[in-house]
Amino acid sequence: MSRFLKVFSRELANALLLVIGVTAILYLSFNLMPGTFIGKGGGVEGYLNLLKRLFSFRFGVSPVSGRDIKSLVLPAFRNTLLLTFGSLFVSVLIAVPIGIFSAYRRFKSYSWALSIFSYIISSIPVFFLGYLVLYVVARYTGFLPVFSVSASARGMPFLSFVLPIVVLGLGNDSISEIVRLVGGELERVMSLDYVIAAKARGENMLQASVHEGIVIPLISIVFSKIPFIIGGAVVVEHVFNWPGMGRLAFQATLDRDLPVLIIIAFLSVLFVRTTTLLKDMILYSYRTSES
Amino acid sequence: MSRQIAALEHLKVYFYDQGDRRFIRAVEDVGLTVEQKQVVGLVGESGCGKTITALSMMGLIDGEPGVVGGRFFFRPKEEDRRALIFAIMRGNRKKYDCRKGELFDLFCGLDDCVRFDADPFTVIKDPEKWLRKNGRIMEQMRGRNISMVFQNTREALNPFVTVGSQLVRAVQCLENDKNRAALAARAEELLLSVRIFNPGYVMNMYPDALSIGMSQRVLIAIALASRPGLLIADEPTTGLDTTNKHRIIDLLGENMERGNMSLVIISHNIGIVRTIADRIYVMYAGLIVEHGNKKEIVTGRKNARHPYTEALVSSVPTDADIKRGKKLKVIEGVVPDNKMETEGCPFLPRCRYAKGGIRRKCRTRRPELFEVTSGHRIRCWLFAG
Amino acid sequence: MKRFYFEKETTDRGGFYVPLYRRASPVDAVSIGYGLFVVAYLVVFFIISLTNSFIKDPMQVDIGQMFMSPSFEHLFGTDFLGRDIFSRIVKGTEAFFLPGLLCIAISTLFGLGFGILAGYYPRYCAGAVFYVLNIVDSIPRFIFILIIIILFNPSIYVIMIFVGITSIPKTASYIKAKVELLKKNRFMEASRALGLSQATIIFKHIIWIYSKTVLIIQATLRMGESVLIETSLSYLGIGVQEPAPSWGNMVAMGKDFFFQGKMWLSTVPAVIILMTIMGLYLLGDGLNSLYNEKVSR
Repeated sequence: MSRFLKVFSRELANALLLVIGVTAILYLSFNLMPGTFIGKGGGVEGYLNLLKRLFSFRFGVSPVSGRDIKSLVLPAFRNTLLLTFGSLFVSVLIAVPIGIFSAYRRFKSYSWALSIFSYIISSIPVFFLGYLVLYVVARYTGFLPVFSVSASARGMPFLSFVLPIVVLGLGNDSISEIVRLVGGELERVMSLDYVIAAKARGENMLQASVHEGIVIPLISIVFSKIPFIIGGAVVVEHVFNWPGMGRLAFQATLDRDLPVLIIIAFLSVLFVRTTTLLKDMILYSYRTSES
Repeated sequence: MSRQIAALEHLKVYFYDQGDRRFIRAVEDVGLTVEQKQVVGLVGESGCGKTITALSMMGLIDGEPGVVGGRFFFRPKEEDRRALIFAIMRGNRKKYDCRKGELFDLFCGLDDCVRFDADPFTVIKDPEKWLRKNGRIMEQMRGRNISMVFQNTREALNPFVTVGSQLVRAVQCLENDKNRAALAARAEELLLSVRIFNPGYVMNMYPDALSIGMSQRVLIAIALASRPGLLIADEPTTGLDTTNKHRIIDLLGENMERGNMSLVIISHNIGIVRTIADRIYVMYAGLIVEHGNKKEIVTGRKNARHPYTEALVSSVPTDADIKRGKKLKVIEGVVPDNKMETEGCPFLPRCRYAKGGIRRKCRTRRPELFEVTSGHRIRCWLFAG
Repeated sequence: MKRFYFEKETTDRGGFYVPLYRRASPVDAVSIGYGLFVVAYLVVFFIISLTNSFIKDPMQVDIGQMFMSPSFEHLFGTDFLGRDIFSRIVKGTEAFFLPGLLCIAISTLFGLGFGILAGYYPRYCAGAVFYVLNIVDSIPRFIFILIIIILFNPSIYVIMIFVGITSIPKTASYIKAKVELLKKNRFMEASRALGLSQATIIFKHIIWIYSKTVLIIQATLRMGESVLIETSLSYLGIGVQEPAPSWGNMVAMGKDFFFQGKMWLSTVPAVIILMTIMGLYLLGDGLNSLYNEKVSR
């Protein structure tokens, strides 16, 4: 347990260092931009000031829109988390069965079609997929499932809530990668001695290879996909009018509202680093249980 | 005559070399009979096809690049017979004679998926169908009827799961008891039966904390958990020191007596095999070169022995040899490369007796298994006719 | 049914060398073949759009021929201003072809440099290099691009330079892993003992012989990514701007007519994007399993 704590504190320190490095870069970019807003200031003192404000979550007021950044960003951040994890869940739900199926050599000719299908799905441009889905749904239900408070009150909140998640789950280009990774790893593990031995005893092969063949590769790939999915969320949130961070960032870009964007970048870096820390610790605890 | 439990007939396994585009012979014309409560030893140098034989009996050879042919008759337990018949009949349009008395052919219908073209020599095969068919039949048999102890002890245990839960899983194959405590109790009992005297402690360990001898015992316990009718032990003594070797062998013999089970023991060490086996099969370059009762093989009664067996036996030093400080005898040469298609006897380059007139015959024609006495056959032209 | 041929007289090739095309499984062969087809049409489109011949003028507005369905004259129909969609698609390759190559060049060059630095001199460089690379890696790429857009208001070339920068860490970590693996190998010591200079070892052995395949695979996957990013940005209206054609803004312009039933306006470029990205991914993954590398996107 003490070893676990040691590794955890090391990784945590590492993550904090990285976050500080990122904020330094952001601070530099602040000073490139003309105008006055929070964090703008000379030298190290200004940077420390910025750090203090960032970590105490006092983000100040946007100079462009004049609104409180914190109340703008935090709900959006929450919505984006929902979208990210939901779509990851959808991706995994689709990709893992295909990956498992394609690991079995006796189903190779069937699984080939499935993996081509996964390639097609994951390379559909997500903006087009979004419109396609909107078109189909709007045509057959007579309802436009974009996210808005009034619409969700009107009777189809579920659809407008689920559709973006499903679309991003399909359209972030990770399905084919998960299929390939899980399928490949599982096929490799299934030819290892201990799995063959389990098969010889009449046990389920999948049960024997689930740890090394599915769980470990899945954890490492899912967590490393999170930054990319936040990127994909920008487009999907734009299409579905989902009040998330991506749409806010895009709006900020159009308004040239750098502070909001910087705060968004800070929060997403915090988020990415936290998930990476989580991943490292999960994989670490797996490895210790092995030895 | 006691009852047969398994009979392998004319097993042949070829592998396809994708790069060179040709078939490599792994095993050819192997026949093996195992009777109830009998120990059969399979002896030969490494690379002569012992493990391939065992794996094809277990149905663990992937059908993709290779050809597996022959018939494997097996007598399942009473309660599994219906399921086996169902598995064999399913998907088979033609009627096969898959029965021989109480024995069932486990390779039944596999030949449907393979077709040969003579000129140019081509094998047309549906590997997936082959695998599915083979898997369907073998799934009924693995575990409860045939089980296997593997060669690489260290890698044959799942490193992510504790020993205890692996044992419990194996026990579950036999009795579908939901009661965890009962399962654990049975697992502890099994560990005790392989002479691990602190089962509670070992059950909570991960496999890499075990020593090799210990993990070999655990593996045997796991294999015994499902009370198989036939246990195949593939090199159960590799990597063990001499005292441990004999302990493991004793353990196998003991449990065989107790559990009403037959044992096929595979080893390159004829000294180990002869302490336990009733019948011994000697393999060389994918062929059975001699088989017979232990006495006939080891002592060479009436001086009838295959030259290879003779060399193999004499390379194990006796006590007298050690006392006199004699040098160890070595068989000259190496096992021939299976890629080379030999026309004659595969042992010819290393054979001491192939001299004079008989040598031409050895070079041009492959000998068959000639019967010397009843139940003792030798594949050598010296004993022809 | 599979056929396994048997060749009676095989020449002794010496060792276990098997040519690549025989090692390839049919699945790999198909995916690589399709990927090469995609690369071929990209190159042909790009050359055509450079020479400006063979196709109708992609910019020419012809109000009389709005919303024409696909026909022999207009292969993919015409858009809402009567411009020929096919020639706009051909011209649209310009939007990402050179920028994509730029992105690949940057990520490969710097990734290789940093990777070798960190792998070959682990004691001095690895920590610092990977600290910098991790900083780049932890900002989500799209947010990073948006910040760049606010700061510099850049063209697509500059954006792709930054995309290249964000993908340096991935290339670098693969190269580092490769170098570390090689360093464990005995042949490195042997070549040093033979008196080869460090430059020879690094450039000839590490880069040319052992890292070539990783780099090629990476480059292919990176190109797919560049197409995706360029089209997404153009779709959002912050990449290539109308009236200059790009596949992304063609979809964006066409989608307004999607609900009127004039689907080909956005479907055609979307399908082309799909085919292209899929081809590049398949090519990368096919090469991946052919060379037995483990490179992910």
